[in-house]
Amino acid sequence: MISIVEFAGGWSTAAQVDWAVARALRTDDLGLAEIEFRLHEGCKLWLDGVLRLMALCNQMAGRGTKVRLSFLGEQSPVMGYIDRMGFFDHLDPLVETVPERPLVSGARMFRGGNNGLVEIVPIAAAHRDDDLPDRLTGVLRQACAARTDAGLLSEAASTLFSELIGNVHDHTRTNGHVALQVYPGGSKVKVVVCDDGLGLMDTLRPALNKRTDAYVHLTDVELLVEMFRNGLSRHPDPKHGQGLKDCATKAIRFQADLDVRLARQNVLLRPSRGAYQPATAYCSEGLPLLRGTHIAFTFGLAT
Amino acid sequence: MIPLNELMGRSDGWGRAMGREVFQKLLAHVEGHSDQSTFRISLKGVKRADVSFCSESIVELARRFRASKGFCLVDVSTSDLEENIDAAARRVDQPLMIWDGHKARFLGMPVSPGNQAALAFVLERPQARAAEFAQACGVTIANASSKMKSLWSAGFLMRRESAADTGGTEFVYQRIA
Repeated sequence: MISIVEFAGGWSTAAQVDWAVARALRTDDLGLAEIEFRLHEGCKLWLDGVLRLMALCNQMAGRGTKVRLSFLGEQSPVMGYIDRMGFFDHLDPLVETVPERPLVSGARMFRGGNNGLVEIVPIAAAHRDDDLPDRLTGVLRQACAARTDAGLLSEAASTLFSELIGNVHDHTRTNGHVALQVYPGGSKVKVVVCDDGLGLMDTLRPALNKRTDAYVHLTDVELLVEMFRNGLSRHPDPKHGQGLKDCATKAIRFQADLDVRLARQNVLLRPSRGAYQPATAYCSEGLPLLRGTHIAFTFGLAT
Repeated sequence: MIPLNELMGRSDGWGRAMGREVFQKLLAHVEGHSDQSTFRISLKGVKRADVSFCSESIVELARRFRASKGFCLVDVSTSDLEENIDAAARRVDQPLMIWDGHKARFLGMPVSPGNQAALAFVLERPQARAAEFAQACGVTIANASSKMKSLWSAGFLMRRESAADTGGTEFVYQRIA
C-alpha cells in the first residue's frame, strides 16, 4: 500500500513537512512499503523544509521504503529551487523523482553565485572544510548589512556556525549538512545544521545517567531546554558540553528562534526575557521517525 | 611573545580538532622555553575563534600550567573573541589575564570577593609580599598569606621563593605580565 503526502500551494517549514508526513502515515513508518511526496505547483519550501524533506526521503529509502518525489505542474518552481540548493546532489539515488532529476546540478553550476545563500554543504568527519563557517558568516554579514548591529551579529553567528558544525564532527559517526538562506521579502535568515547520527538524546542520556540521576526524570524536551540553557555533556570533563549553550547565548541576543528536531519530536524555542525558557518551548510529538538532529536558527534581518 | 595567528596558519580558529592541533604547537613552544615562567600570547591577526577552539588551545595551555607558568593575552581584537575565551575559561574555572593596552584584567573564573583586595594590591605593584598586604590592609599575616596563596594556586598570580628578612624563606607574588 502506498502512502501519499501532499504539499499544496504555500510555504512549508520543516515542522509542516513533518505534520504532512504524520497525517499521511496511519501507523509507525518503520514497516512502510511505499511513499510518494507530491509537491504541487505553487508549493514552496523554506530552507528547513528542504533539509527535512531530504532527510526523510534518504532515511526512508535507507530503511527499504520505496520513495517517490513527484513535482506536479508544467514547470515546477520548487523543483528548480531545491535543485539550486543542491537537494538532488545529496538525495539517495534510490529515491525516484518524477520528472527525473536534472542531469546537471543547479547547485554545482551556480554555487557561490548568489549572495543570499549557501547551498547545501555536506559535513563529513573525514574531511573538515575549514572555510565553511567563514563562508556562512560572509553571507550573513551581507544580508544583515542594514542592521545597526550587523558587525556584532555576524561575529556572534560565526561562533554559532562553527560550534554547530563542530558538534557534527565531534559527536556523530555519520555525515551532516548545513545550509543558509536569506529571505529579504520575509526579512529573515535561516540557518540549518543537521546530521543523521544517534541524536542528541541517545548520545547524551546514557552517559549522563551513569554520572548522576539528577536528570533521569526530565522529559526529552526539558532535557533539551537544559542543554541550551545551562549546558550538559556526556563527557565528565567540564570543558565539554557547553557548545549548544554558547550557541543559544549568542542567538538569544539577536532574538533568534531555535528549532530542534529530535527522533519523534520537534521543539521550537522562542526567546523570552533574554533566555530560552521551558515555558516558551513549543513541542510537537508523535512525528515520523527521524534519526539524528536537525537544528535551525531564524534571525530577523531588520532591527 | 607567542604569535597565535602563526601557529594557527589562518585567521580563524574553530572546533576542537583544530584547537588540539594548535595546543600541541603552543605546548612545544612553552616546553622549548623551559626557563621562562610567563608568556604573552598575541592574538594579532586572529579574526575569530570559537569557544571550542579556545577551550582546546589557549585555555587548555593555561590550565595545564596553572600555578607554574603564567599566560597573558594581548591584541584581542573583538568583543566576541573575548567573550568566547571567557566562556571557555569559565567552564574549567581558569582565569586568563588579558592586557588591553592600559591595564590588566581577567577573563574566565572571576576572583572571589574575599580575594579581590589582595589581587588588586599585587597588580598595582611590581611585586608584593603577604606581610606588605597585611600591613597595608590591616589583616593578619596568616590571612594575607592564605589569600595570596589562593590567588596563586587558582592561576591569578605568579610567585617565587625569596629570602625573608627573618632568615627563612617567603614567597614574593607578582602579576603574570
